[in-house]
Amino acid sequence: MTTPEDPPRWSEGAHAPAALESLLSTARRDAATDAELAELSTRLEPILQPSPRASSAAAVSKLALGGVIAILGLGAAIALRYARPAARPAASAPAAATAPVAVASTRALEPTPVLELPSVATSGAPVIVGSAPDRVPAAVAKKSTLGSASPGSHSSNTTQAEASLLEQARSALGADPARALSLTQQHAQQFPRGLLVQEREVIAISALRRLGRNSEAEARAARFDARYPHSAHQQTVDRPSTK
Amino acid sequence: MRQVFDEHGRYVWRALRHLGIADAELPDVSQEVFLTVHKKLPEFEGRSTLRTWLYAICLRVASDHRRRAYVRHEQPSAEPMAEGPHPGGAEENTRLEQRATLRALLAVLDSDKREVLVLYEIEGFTMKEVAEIVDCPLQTAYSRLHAARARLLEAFLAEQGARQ
Repeated sequence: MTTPEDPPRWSEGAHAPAALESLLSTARRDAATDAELAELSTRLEPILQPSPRASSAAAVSKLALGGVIAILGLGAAIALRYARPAARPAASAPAAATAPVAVASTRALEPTPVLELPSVATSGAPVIVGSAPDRVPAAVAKKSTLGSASPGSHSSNTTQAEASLLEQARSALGADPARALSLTQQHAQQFPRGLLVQEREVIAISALRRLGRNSEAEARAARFDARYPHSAHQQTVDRPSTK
Repeated sequence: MRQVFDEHGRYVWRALRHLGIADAELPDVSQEVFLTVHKKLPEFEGRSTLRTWLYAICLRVASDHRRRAYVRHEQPSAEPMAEGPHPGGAEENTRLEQRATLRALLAVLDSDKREVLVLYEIEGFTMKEVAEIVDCPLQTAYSRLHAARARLLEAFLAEQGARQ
């Protein structure tokens, strides 16, 4: 939404070359795919669905340790990708062969805290990286909302199955919206408390629109708005043009 | 936490991409964002909306990541300008090419201007929200947007000229 004081966006008719606006339009649609989201969900499973007895601090520590390991691997991969003989120590040749080891061992020798997360503040204060004990307040465990997650409602396999089904639905939208709608109904039956419910609704609304069932599409979009008023999917729900 | 992830995970990924995080690093950096959210969520006081708070975290994590990458002499945004044909076909190739072109264009902007432009033109925030997220006065945010647009347009026209 643009407030009256805001300048017109490039997407709303402000002067910008069509090709540039096209790039930005593509960027607006360039969110994570279902598969990418499913992978991220799997990585975050310890904090999204902790076991009832696991403290959130333990879950964060476990993930952070995994993150450190991932960073080591990532560092190695990046070193491989960007390895340049001129930028490397003289002893590192051949760069590609030794870079991963060099990066990994350097990082491993650092007294890296278990938690290596950036501190976050909206105040603009400098980022401070600290160690685990003083960065996980006791209140986290007490106030965490994680306990309310439905236990066992999503395994990584379930998430992958959801993503796969919705990917089929999304693919069918253009050529066969009836099938796309049917697949979303199948998703609703198989995964009534699924991870990708919002994605399903976006596809279903679009399918209804393409089938000419506009009143149903609008009713469903209204239910979506009521249920997820702050959803980032608001931008992708298929609505009649208001321009 | 699950609800936060469900509602925003997909778009955190998008924002990080346009804030200069390389595709190969998006899973790790997105994970870092949600770890931070998880840790900070109990401290969220509702003085801003959850979405603006979350994007402020994105900015911090992305900035911190870029700084670490700089220290390690990496080039986090120097990614895939030269990709071969994608098995997804012509449409997918076009999308990837556009992604790479925009990535290169955004890379010419200073990070403070880039953040404002991405939040306003791609993520759809109001300028008041943008100012809140980047933690600057509203007029400063307007100035940054104006400068970012001018610089992006200049880079775009230069890029178009080079193609012809």
